[in-house]
Amino acid sequence: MLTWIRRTHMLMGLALAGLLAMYTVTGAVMVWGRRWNSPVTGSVQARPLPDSWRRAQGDGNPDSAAALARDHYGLAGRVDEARREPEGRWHVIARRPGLRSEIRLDSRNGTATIALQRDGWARTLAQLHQFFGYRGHPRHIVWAVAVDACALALIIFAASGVYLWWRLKRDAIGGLVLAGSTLYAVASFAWLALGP
Amino acid sequence: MPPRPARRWLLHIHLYLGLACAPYLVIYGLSSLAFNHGWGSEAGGDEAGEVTATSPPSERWSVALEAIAKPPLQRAQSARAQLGVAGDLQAWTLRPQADGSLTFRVTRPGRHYDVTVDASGSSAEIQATRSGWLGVLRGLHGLHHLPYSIWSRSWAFYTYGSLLAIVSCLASGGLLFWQLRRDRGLGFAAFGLGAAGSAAMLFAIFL
Repeated sequence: MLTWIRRTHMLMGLALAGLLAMYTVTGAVMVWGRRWNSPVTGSVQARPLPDSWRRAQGDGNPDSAAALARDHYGLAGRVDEARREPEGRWHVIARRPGLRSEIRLDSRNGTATIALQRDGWARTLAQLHQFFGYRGHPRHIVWAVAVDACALALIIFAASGVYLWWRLKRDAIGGLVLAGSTLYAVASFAWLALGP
Repeated sequence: MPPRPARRWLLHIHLYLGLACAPYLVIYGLSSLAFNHGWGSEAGGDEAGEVTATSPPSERWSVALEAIAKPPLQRAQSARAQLGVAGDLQAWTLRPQADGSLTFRVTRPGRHYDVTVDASGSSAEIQATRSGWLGVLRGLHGLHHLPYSIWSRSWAFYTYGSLLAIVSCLASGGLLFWQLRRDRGLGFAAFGLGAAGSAAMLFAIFL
């Protein structure tokens, strides 16, 4: 049992080291790198709308608008928003770290206006840290599973480490360190949740 | 085989610093799960696309202020300073109203305050809303400073200390693994597969 837990603690750390290091770096950029100059560049282009779309207007289905944006116009990233607007217009927004893509489909004049916003490295790293959620393309779902794995790994590291200490050493110094840290965290949590 | 005292030092570093940052790791693990699954998010949209209704304000009160004539952001900052409300003033929530009043929001983990400063700037009404333990959890993720909060100084110390402990545990853990004879092949395989998989997933989301 102890060997299994120790092995899990070690192998999980090694397997997820890359992702955990990525989150450490991108988290640090988010918290301490806000002043770093991260230039933003943009472009806007107009392209014709397919006749089939003009006629059907996607049958009023947001998924059709999103699919058109992705498959016909090559919009990169995960579609965050696809909403219908008055007079047969559609507005689709897709994002991936470092790029915001916006497309407006206008059935009246048969055009699609594509606006791209590219962020600098600091904002891209920050957006990478905040890229999560179970939605989008299957590769985004896989990423969300990886995010969950990292989150669970943090909890398992803590729990398995404490368990190994309890079973193998259980000394006063370790007890004081763990108790002190836990007491502070729990007290802070309770004060924030319940306090004035 | 490296000298035994060195290995003993590495084990002590890994063990005691690991125990020190264990609660911090649990907070970050749970809050990461909350973000990834949209638990405890506020109305107006969250990362998982689900919308959760906000709770009704739990407290309301009014305060007299010393009026100042300045642009909206400075007025809001002055009002917040006089109110002594701990939290981040969210500049994007600043709304000058048609009647000359000014509304803005101040947030802290587990709670937010909606403040309305009247047109003359001589009084403010505050509505406080609690967001529960999930709101506290999400708010603690990445928190290292909270204006007008004495508690946040200790949290900053706890955060920096835990981060230092985590980096030390990563380094000491790597060295301890390197010294192993048993499980070394398994460890390298886990590291290689993990690194390759992570790189592939990173590449995929940038498409």
